[in-house]
Amino acid sequence: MTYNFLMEKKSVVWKILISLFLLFHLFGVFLTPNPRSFLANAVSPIYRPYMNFLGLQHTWGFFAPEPLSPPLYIDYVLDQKNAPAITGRFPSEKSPFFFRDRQNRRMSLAKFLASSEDHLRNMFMNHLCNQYPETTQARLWRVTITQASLEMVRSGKKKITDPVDSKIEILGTFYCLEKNNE
Amino acid sequence: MSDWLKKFFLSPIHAWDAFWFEPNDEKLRSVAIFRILFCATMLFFYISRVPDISFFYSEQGLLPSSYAQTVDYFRYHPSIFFGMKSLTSLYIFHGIFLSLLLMLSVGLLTRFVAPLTFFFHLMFLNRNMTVMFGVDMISTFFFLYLIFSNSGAYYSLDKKLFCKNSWLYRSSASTINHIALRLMQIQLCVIYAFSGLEKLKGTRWWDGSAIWDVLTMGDMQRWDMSFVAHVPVLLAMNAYAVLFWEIYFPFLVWKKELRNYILLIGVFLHLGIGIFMNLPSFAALMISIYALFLSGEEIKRSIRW
Repeated sequence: MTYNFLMEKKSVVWKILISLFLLFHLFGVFLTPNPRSFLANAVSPIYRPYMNFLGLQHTWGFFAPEPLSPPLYIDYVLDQKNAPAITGRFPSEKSPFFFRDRQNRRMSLAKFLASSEDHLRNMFMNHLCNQYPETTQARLWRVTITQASLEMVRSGKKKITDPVDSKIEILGTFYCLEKNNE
Repeated sequence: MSDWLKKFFLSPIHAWDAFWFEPNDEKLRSVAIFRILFCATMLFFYISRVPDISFFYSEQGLLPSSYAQTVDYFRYHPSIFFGMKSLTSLYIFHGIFLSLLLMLSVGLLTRFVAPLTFFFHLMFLNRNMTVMFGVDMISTFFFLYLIFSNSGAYYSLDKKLFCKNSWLYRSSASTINHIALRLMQIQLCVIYAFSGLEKLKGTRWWDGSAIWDVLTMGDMQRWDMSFVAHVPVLLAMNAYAVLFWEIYFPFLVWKKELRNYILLIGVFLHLGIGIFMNLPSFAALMISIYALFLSGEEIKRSIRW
């Protein structure tokens, strides 16, 4: 007896079973985007594992609640054993890629990295130390850039593309320990 | 009175039944067009990922498996690519994934290719979720639903190569295909509804300055659009139009008389986002989903035209 045969029969029992599953699935689809609600918190053990397993755990808030999320960059200075320090910014301010999607992935990554010291140490530093094996230590900063306001552009003082302010915060000094030990 | 009561209780059941369990062969054309547009978009989108395979997904890249396993965020999302040391293997698997997308676009062995495509898609996403953004998230739902929809019934190589209703190719709709179609339609409504409602929490959307903020996002600027500062009314009207359209899309798109107008506004909105914010793949993805709301007759007419 194949699944299709059962479908064609449209037996009431099957319809009820499928309807129950649909209700469960839709429950997850509607609750997942609002994970902080009382209801979602209360019933998350029921639907969360299912949604996570299928990769459906996403929230939907494009440019919301506020659209202004200034781009975030990580500036670095890498001190080298026997060479001048290397400086850089991740990701580059202007996308160097033909496909814009490559830059979007890096922007998303930079936000994740800067959100925790552990991520910086185990992901970003790990990568930098591998890429530049002569590095002994690195100093990192979080940089957010503010663009011109409507009033500034209206008065002709600035163009919409002009950055007006950079907020620079120290993220810390990190070491390429394994390389030092060697 | 008893008739009234019976109707009162039974009509929602009948409506549910009609909505989910009445397959329509003609709708298979819409699903087929969606498959072509969606998979072709995703194929180009994931080709752009190839130069970053090593950086994003390999053990030598940004996220070594040893660290990923210690972070809760990754632990609940398994991937066959965790611990894969060979970079060549990663490239081969990505190549297989792209080939599957190509096969799905042209409708070759659709029934078998769809689940494999979803599997590989999810495995790559789970390997490094920090580099994921809107297009990856939205497409996951539609790759999943494509498994259950008979998307190869029309406009496919399957149709040309295999006998009607063989185990390789089915030309007719079944309930399960129809359910998948409904889930895809609902998913789009959920995305818009939540995006719209989330915006209502933001003060910038209420005061109408949100579009200005979007246009000034340094990393997304393509051209100098300073002139828009002189027409703030237009910016505010645009912001309110986006809010209104996103929030009401899930209701208005089901009204036959309004559907095509609602979709047309969506096409313009996404083309705007695609062109001015330099997000063409996101625009193409969203527009491809609209095919699911067109009738079989409309698809036939458009293709003839």
